[in-house]
Formats: sequence, structure tokens, C-alpha cells
Amino acid sequence: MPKAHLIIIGNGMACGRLLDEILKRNPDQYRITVFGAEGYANYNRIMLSPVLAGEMQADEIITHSEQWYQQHNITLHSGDPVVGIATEDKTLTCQSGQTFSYDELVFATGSNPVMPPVAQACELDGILSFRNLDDIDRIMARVSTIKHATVVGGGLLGLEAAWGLRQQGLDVTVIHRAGWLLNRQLDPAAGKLLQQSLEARGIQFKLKAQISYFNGEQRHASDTTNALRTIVLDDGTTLNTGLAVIAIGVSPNHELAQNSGLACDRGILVDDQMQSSHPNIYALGECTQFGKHTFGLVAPLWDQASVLANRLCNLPGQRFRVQPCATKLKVSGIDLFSAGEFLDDPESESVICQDPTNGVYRKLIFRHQRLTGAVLFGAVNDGNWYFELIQSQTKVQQLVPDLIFGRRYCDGDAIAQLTPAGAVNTDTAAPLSLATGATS
Amino acid sequence: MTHTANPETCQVKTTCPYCGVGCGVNATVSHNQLIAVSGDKDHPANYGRLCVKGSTLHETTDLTGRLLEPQINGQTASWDQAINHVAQGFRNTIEQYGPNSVALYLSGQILTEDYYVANKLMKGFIGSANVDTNSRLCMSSAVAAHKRAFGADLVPACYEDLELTDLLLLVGSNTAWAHPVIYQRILAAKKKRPHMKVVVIDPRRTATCDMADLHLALKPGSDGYLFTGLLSYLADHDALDNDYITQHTEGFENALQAANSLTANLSQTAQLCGLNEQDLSQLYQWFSHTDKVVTLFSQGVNQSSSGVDKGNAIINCHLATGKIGKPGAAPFSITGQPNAMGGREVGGLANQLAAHMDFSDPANIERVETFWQAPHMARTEGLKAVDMFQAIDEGRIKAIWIIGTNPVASMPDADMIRRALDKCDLVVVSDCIAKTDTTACADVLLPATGWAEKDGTVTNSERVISRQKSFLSPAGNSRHDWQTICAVAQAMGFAEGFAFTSPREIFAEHAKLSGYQNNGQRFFNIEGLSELSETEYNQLQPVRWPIAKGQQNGPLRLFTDGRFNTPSGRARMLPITPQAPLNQVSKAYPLVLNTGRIRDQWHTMTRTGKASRLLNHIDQPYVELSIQDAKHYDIEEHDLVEISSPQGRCLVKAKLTADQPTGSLFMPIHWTAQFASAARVDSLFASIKDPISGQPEAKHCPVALRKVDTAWRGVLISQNELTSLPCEYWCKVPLSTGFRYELAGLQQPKSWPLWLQQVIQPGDDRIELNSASNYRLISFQQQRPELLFFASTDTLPSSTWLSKQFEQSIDSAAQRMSLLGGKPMDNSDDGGAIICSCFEVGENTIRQAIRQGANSTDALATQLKCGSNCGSCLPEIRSMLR
Repeated sequence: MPKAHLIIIGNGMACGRLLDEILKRNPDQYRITVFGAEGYANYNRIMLSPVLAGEMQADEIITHSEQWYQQHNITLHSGDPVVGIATEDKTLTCQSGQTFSYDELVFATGSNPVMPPVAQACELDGILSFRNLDDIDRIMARVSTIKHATVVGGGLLGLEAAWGLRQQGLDVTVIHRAGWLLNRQLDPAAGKLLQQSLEARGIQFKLKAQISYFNGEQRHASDTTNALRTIVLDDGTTLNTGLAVIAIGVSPNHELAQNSGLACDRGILVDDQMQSSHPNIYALGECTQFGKHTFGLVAPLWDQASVLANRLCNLPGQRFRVQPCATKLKVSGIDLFSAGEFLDDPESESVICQDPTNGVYRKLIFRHQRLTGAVLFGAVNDGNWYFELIQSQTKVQQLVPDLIFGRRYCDGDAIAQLTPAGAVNTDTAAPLSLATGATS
Repeated sequence: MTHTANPETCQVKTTCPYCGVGCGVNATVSHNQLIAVSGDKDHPANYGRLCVKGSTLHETTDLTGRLLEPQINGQTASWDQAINHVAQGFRNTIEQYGPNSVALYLSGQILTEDYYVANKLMKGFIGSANVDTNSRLCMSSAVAAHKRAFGADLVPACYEDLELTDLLLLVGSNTAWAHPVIYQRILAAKKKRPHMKVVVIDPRRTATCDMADLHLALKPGSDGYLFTGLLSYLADHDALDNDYITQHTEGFENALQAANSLTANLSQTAQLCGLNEQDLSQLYQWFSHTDKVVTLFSQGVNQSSSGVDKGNAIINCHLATGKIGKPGAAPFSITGQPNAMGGREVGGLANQLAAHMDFSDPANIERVETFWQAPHMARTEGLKAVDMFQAIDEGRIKAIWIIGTNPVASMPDADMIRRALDKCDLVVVSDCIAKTDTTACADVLLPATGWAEKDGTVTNSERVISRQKSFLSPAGNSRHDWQTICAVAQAMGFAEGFAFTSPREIFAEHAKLSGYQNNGQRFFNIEGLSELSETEYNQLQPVRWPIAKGQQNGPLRLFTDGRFNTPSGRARMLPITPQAPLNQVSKAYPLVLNTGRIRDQWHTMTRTGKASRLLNHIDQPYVELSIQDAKHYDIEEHDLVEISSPQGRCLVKAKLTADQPTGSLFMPIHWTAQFASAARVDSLFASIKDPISGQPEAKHCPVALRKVDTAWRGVLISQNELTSLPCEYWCKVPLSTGFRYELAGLQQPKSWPLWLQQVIQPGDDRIELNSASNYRLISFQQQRPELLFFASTDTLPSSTWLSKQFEQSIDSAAQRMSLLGGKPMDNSDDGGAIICSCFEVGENTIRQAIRQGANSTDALATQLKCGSNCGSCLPEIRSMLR
């Protein structure tokens, strides 16, 4: 009997992880075909920033080479995107016109960068996103010809891009809509410290700022498009800049799914087994929407891959649920960790510990004797322990105020006596801070 | 006398300035610094031993806190200005209001020579006997008892008797803490002679009880009954020495009759003392059957409204059994201060005249008048301490000169003393310390040399005169007290009587007076020392008086021949009717407060408070209470409690102990307003005193006790001394650098940072922790903490650990954080340099897992999670796997 045919659309990190998980469970169950829009093997998108910063080479971030696909008898179709799906026939069609039939179909189409309308309207050369290796090529192609670059968006990805550009020797200005950086992960105080650290590294900032319009001009008489020259902000400031990297967020790439009749909202709607509205069709990663949540960080994606692999390999039981997320910023020398809540409110209690001389800021937020958030800057020790305590909803009142100094300051016996709240209800464990789309 | 700093290292033999044991000290001096001390092996008081206070003397001689310049009304003045101001002030007051409108209040800590000129000035030249001393507070009942029984203030025994005795009764004396070297000697003797018995008679189970064969925890203040009961018992049990009574005493019959009036039988006595009959009977039997008995008594006996009677009740028992004037047998009063005895010898008390003469005999007055060639001779007793300050309060005394003591902390009804001094026209204070509760009340401050600078003699509890030597230059502009007194006397117009140029000259005159027209009438005679040359005086070895003309040294014991210093030559037995303390508990003040010293502090902590080591034992004022009382008042260990009386209130932390009898509290005497917000124990006491000695009843004060609910507690450590701490409780603990303040408040400040700003402005390099229930701030100056403030509504980290860190250099950010954490980091699981930042897995942890069999990145990821998130550490992990 021939093996069932599993097709995965999208060859990003979600796909790579899913393949690993399936092969780990049962390497012989499926004949597998993967369709990738990008002309590369599978790579670690998280590491794009170090590549831009020149700290790593593109080939160093490949996780699954073309050779790997061959070794595991996985058919990889790079650069031939799927354009249509006939769900009743369980077939799909590629741009090249080829048609494939599947038994099980997985959407791992990821997300698209959000572009501001003014950028979409102006059609200028030099306004780029920062999502894949092609983006890096495009950015790098300009770096040598310009002095100044602008990054739009002071989230994780924007700041990593800014650092990368700065490492390439450019003057960099970050334009950010909110009053402080990483406003989806940090409180104002930590945001301010981060800003100071980055300013010390030569990056400039325009906060509470929005772009009014981009201006461009023909660089060479032969050019068909105008190149970016200036950005005018809503406060009237004009920045002379040769490059604008847009990093204001991502939106799930669910166009194909929607066109194929799958139930979609902001993303492809999935249940806790990662199944879409159609049987035999699944989705995972940034293209999905689970309840009201969409995803932008790697941790939930790993969970989804595991759940889906179980499902596909007929290993029942595991259910996907939304967990608080922890974030880190990959800028050399800047230690930053955020998990769960990051802003105080009248019902919460917080403990703040700071050493401005050493650029250290730590904040823990508590509710009902439980840790619900951690914002660490400068000294990120024990971030993951806090993250575990947040996830497990452990009562930690007896460890306050030692807790903020880390596990090694807390009484070992007191730690041993901590009892997690037990099974976490999805609703109460609601995403405390989901950095949706801020990073890969 | 001029003094040049000693450039080379040398050893100087001197005497310890603390308790009345009077230990010999070898001081090692180098470049005008005291660098080490050790016990003098040749000194008869200690034979090389030193207690912890004595051992830390070299940590107290720095100039911190010293009064270095004269001041008039808070302004620095020259010595000439200050001397003239004082002389003029006294002269004017005397001219206007008579000689009894001025007073001197001295100290058992000044030297005999200082005492002598002060006493001479007052009684012979100003013409008033208003010169008293803080010895009034500790010794005067024993003095009076001695005088009544022996005809003069004579201590019959020596320390060796404590080692030779077969039965030692310690009455109202926590020797282990108050006279530690004596305690050590007793302990060693007991070890050597195991049959020697020690009985401690004290309401509290003190540290001294550790060596006791029997502890009689009698009812506070009931010691008089115990000893009249003993006399009755001795008579009943044929344990008297009738020959001795007949040949050497008078008044026996009356004494016995009086004893029998209240304590004729054991059960009566036991009841009055709150003791069980077996224990009391055991003591009585031992006393009856033992020839060599020493009764060592101290403040527990003296500080009583019937202290003189108690002293005589003790002496009666020794006289009735002939247990006196023999090796290992005597009643023995041990003094509290290093030179209370010297003061007594000089006669520096209001009811004494000079050199063991008093005002009772006009011949005495005439003799002294002649000897001194006194222009204005006092002819009647002056006002004793309590009455003296009363007279100041009432405006009868208008000028007072306080020398070397701190009455605003140490007198009963101490708040009244402060009020009285605030009202007084002229308050002159001579001290070596700038800020005391008393200097705060002064109009004129005169800087005095301190121990190590002073030069003269002291007498200890066993009549041994020892030299206290000057081996450091006077601090700043300070002068010796005798110099200042003589200068004031001269400025007042009494040049002839005060032309002394050295302490030796003063000592010689004092010695001469003791022998002047003596003819064996006065046992106190040191005329043998009156001809000492400057060199002989400087090299004087410890000597015991009496030393009549032509003698070198005195006998170990007095009364060995059964002859006493009374007109009849017989010792007097006094009819004693014991009394309970005058001030009894009531519904409003239901508990009895007892007071005393602690092991490592001396008096008002002006000197011992400088040695941080001495605060390691006990660093804060406290009240001790029994477990039952604690339960009754709902008080737990370290709770803040209020102790109040009609006179005042104290706020201290509670110490629960089984050693304290129920219904009775104990507080140490040492803490002043310089060290704590409200721990001046003497502010609680009423001015109740013994009618004969005038000694206040400082061991028995009815008080109320209440738990104080604190909203927050804090600890503040600062390089600088702080002046204002706006919270209900604070206590200063000096460190080797800086000061620690323990704090507590009844209401949480709206903002701790703002509260702190009222106290001190922290530097800019600071680290902070802020939450609703905790605030912590540490500021740094060049890597060293300069300020540390921890406040909490809950619990605080260990003050001791924080204090230790405060004295260290803090270099790394991690160390700073550790300090803010308030405790050392647990280094037991040092994972090493972080390899996987996502899950914070360190190199050591990974290598250990590899050693234990994890042989792939997957295995490590399963076990440690490392490398399983962003994966950027996988290359490093792989290299570790290779």
C-alpha cells in the first residue's frame, strides 16, 4: 500500500520543525512534499539579524539543507509557489501549472510584513521589509551607497534591524509610534534604558512619531523608479535617508487558504489540534489564528509543531494552548528579557530593582500572590525561572522580595515548597503579553 | 605637665578605666597611637587577665567624637576665655546667692588627683560641700554601711579572699558581666578547689549563675530579710562566734532582736523573700558550717531605698560569726567604677569632708581648714546627688560644673534632670566626649583628656592604688581635669591653694592630709606615699593602703586584729528592720523593672560604643521579660514594646527569657539619647533614695508594659552620623566605619524615598528596590557603599550581614545586586558562563551533563533545554560534545 502523501505549503521554520517532529515519531508514515516560496533551503529566520549585522553568514543559519531533504526523501519545490487548492479533490496547483494530490495538507505559509499605506502608495526604491534572506540581499545592496538608514518600528525586529544597519556602518534613526521602545514587551522605564543603551551605540530615535510621507528622486537618469531621499514625519521633521526598513509588524499569510475556502479571520482558523475548517487540512505557525490569537514568536510555533506531528502520526492527546511568551532582543551586549505582563495597574503589585550605573532594571509583577510578569534589563539572570513560575501560576508570595534577585537568593527550602497551581485553564492563562508579529 | 608623643614603640603599664576591679594594663604605644593592650601579669587585680572591654581599649582611643576645643554657648572659645567665663560665672553666683548656690558633680572615673583639687576648691575655698559624684549612684550605701559598722569607709578584704573562701555569696552582683575578671578568678579558684561553693542571690538568673551551686532567685528587693533571717538562724542554730561578738563588736543584742522581729524563723523569711525553704535553709546551713565565707555585694544591694541597712544586715552576719579580717572570710563590697574608691578616699562626696574625715566632728573641719589654709571652709554636709539636682530644679543651685559624667542619662527621673539643667543659669561640663545627653545641656564645654592621656592614680575595690599613665598626647586642645580645676580656682582668686604643676604634687598633698594629725585615728592613711619623687611616683607599683609614714605597702586585710575604726575599737552591729522597696507595683504599673550592665558596654557607651566589636554581643537596647509575661502581654521576641512609669517611657525591643522571673523586667543601663530614640532607662525611675546614703533605688521601678504595633521596620547604615530620624524607634550601632541605625515606625511613610531624603541625601550612584512593602537603597562612593537603607513592612535581611558588607569594597554589578538582595548569593549551583542564553544554561552544567552521558545536542536539549529555542548556541554545544 502506498504511503499517504503529506504536503506542506511553506518552507519556513514551522515547516522545518514539523518535519523534525514527524520524522522523530515515524519517518516512514508519509511521503512528504514541501513547497517553498523562497529559493532557499530551510533556515533559522531568527538569525537574520546577526546576518545583517555581519556577525553570521547566510549559510550558517541554514537548518535544513537541500541535501537534508534528499536524505530524508522529502520532495522540495523551491520557488514554485502553490496558487490554488481544490479541497474537494484534495489537489493543489503550482504557479508552474503542476498539480499534486495530497492526503494531508499543512499550511505553514507564515506571515507578511505590514507596510504602512504611505509606503505602499509612494512606489519609491529603498523602502524595504526585513523578513527573509532576499530582504537582506536587497538591504545589503544599498548599504554601500548610502550614509543613513531609517528603521520604521521600534519593536524587536526593528531594533535588531537598526543594530544590524548600524553594524554595517550606517547612521540609523528608528521611528517609533509609541512613547517607548518595545512597548509590547517593556514598561516605559525599561524602554528608556534600552533606548539609552542603543543611543550609546549610535542609533538615534524618534518616538511618538509617524511618517507623513516619503520623498524620492531619480538617482540616475536611466532609473525607472525614484529612490528614497527623505522621510517627513508628522511633527514636520525631515530625515535625509537612503533606506527605510519597515518593521511595524506582520500579518498572517492566509490568502491562499482563504481563496481555497478555508475559514479565516485574521489568520487561518485552527482548533487545538491545528486542524483548519477542513478535514485533512491543517495549519501551524504565523499564518494561523487560534481563538483570537495570532503568533509571532518561535515558542508557540514549537508547541504547534509538536501537537500537529502527534496528530499526523496518530498519537492522540496533546492539545495546543496559548502560553505566555518570553522575549529577548538579539543585540550584542544588550541583555533584555520580558515575559508575561509588563505594565502595572491598580490591581497588580510590582517589585522594581534598579542599578542605573550598571544599566540594570528588573521588574516583577504579581497578582494574587502569583508572578504574572517579568521585565529584565541589563541583568537577565533567572528570566526563564520567572517564566516557568509565570506559566505554572505558582504562588510565590513567600519569596518576595528575594525573588527579584533570582533563584540563588531565594531560600532553597522555600523554593522546594512552591506548588504550581496545577492544570492551567486556557482562559485564565490568557496571553499576558503576546508579542504578535514583532519578530520572526 | 608637657607631653611629647612617643615616636618609637614602647610598653606602658597603666590601669584599665572601666570597672572597679582595676586591672593592670600593658599598653603598646607606637607613634602616639595605642596599638595593642594586654593584661599586666604583675598586677594583683588581674595577674594578666583582661575582659573583652579592656581588651578593646585600643579601639576606643581615636579622636572620633572627642571634645577637642572649649566652647561657650556653642561657640569655640580659647581656654582663657572659657576659664574666665566659668570663674566669673561661679564668682558672680556666689557673690549674689552665697556659696551653696553653686555645685560640682564629679565622677568615679576621674582620677584621685582630679578629685582632690575639686573637693578642695569646693569645701575649702568656695565654702560649700555641694560637691557630689556619680559614685553616689552606685557606692554610697556601702560607704554608709561601712562607716556605721567599722567607723570608716573600709573594705576589709582583697580579691585573693574570693579565691581562698569556701563559700562565696554573690548578692546583687552579676559578676560575670559587670566584673568579668573577678568572675574569671572565682571560676578558676572553684575549678582548683571543687569543694568551694558559690551561691548567687539575685532575682534574675544571670550569666553569673552558670558557676553557682545554688541560685536563690529571691523577690526583688528582699535581700534585707534574707540576711536578718540569716542572723536569726545563726543565733538559733548555735552558729555564732560568741567570743568574737563579745570581744570585738557592740550592739549584738539589739541587732538580733531587730532581726527576730520579722524574720525569726526560716519559713517567715522564705516567704518574705519568695524562696522555698529548702533552698534558703541550704544557704543558711552552708553559712553556719563554713568558716571561710565571703559575701560579695554590689549594686543589687546598694541601689535600694534601704541599701545601707542591707549592707549592715550582711556585715552583721559576718561580725556575729567572726567571719571577717581572716583569709577567705569577709563582707566585701565591690565597686562599679574604676576610681569610686579614690573619690571616697579624697572625700569627694557631699557628706564627706576629706581623707576619711566627715563633718560630724568640728575637729575634722578645723584640721582640714588648717591643712588647706582654707579661706572659706564648708562646715556642714552639702547636697547629695538627688537633692543637688532637685535644688537646681528649684533654682537654689544656679551654677553647676559637671566633670566626667552623664547625669542626664544616669540619674533617676532623668527627664527632670534635663529640665533642671536647661533651667540652670550656668552649666559647665568637662568631658572628653563632645556629644552626650549632658553636654547637650551645657553652656560651657571644657575638653578633658581621656584615658591614655590622663596621668594620676586610681584605687580599686581592694584598696589598691595604681597608676594610670599618660602615653598619648592630649587630644586636640584638651586638658587634664586637675589643670582645668586649678585654673578656674586661680581665676577665682585662689591662687595659693592651687599652684600645682603636676599630679604628683597633688597626690603628695592628698597623702600628707591623710596622715595629718592622724595618730592612728583614721585607718585611711597613705602618708607613706607623700614623699614620692617625680620618678618614684611615675614608677609607683600597685600598692595597698593603709601605708603610714615610713611604710611601703599595706596589709592584704583589715581588722585582722579585731580592732575597728570606731571610738571603742569595736565593730558596730546595727539593729536592722528590713524594708521592701518603697515604690511598690500597682494596678497601673504592675511590673517591677530591674536594671544592670551588659557584658560588653560601659556606662553610657561614650567609649565602649566606639568599638564596634563590643556591639557584637548586644547591639540594641532591650527589655527582658519572662515567657509567661510575654504570653500575657502578647509579646514576641524582638517586638517593639513600651515600658512606662509616671516619670517617663522607653521604647525597646523585647527579649524573652526563662531567666527572668515573672512579674519582673530587666533593662540595661547603657543606652542614652545619643544611641537610641527612647531607651534612657533612668527616665523611668522616680527619685526614691536611701535616707542615709542618698543612693537612688535604681533596681526597682514599677512600670507598665505594652506591645507597640509597628507598621514598618528599617535598617539604615551610613558613613556619617545622622542627626534626625523621624520615626518612633531608632537605635544607633557604631560600626568600624560608619553607623548602623535600626528603625521602626508606627505608620508607614507615604514614600520611603521621601522619608529618607528628610534624613540624608543619597549620592547619585545608587541602586534601589521599590515595592509597596519594601524599599531598599544603597548609594556608593567610589565603589564603597556610603549609605544603605532597607525598609519593610514585613521582614528585613540580617543587619549583621549588611553591616559587614558595608565595610567592604563592592566592585561588580553582581556584588551590588547581592548587597541590595540583603544576603549572599547561594553559590552552590554555579552553572558557569552562560552558553544557552534562552534557557540560561551554563557551561559547567552542560559539561556535567555530558560527563553523565548526554552525548548529543538532542539529549542535552531534553535534559537541560539548552539549544532548543533559538539554537544559536548549538555550535558551542557541539564543540563541547566533541
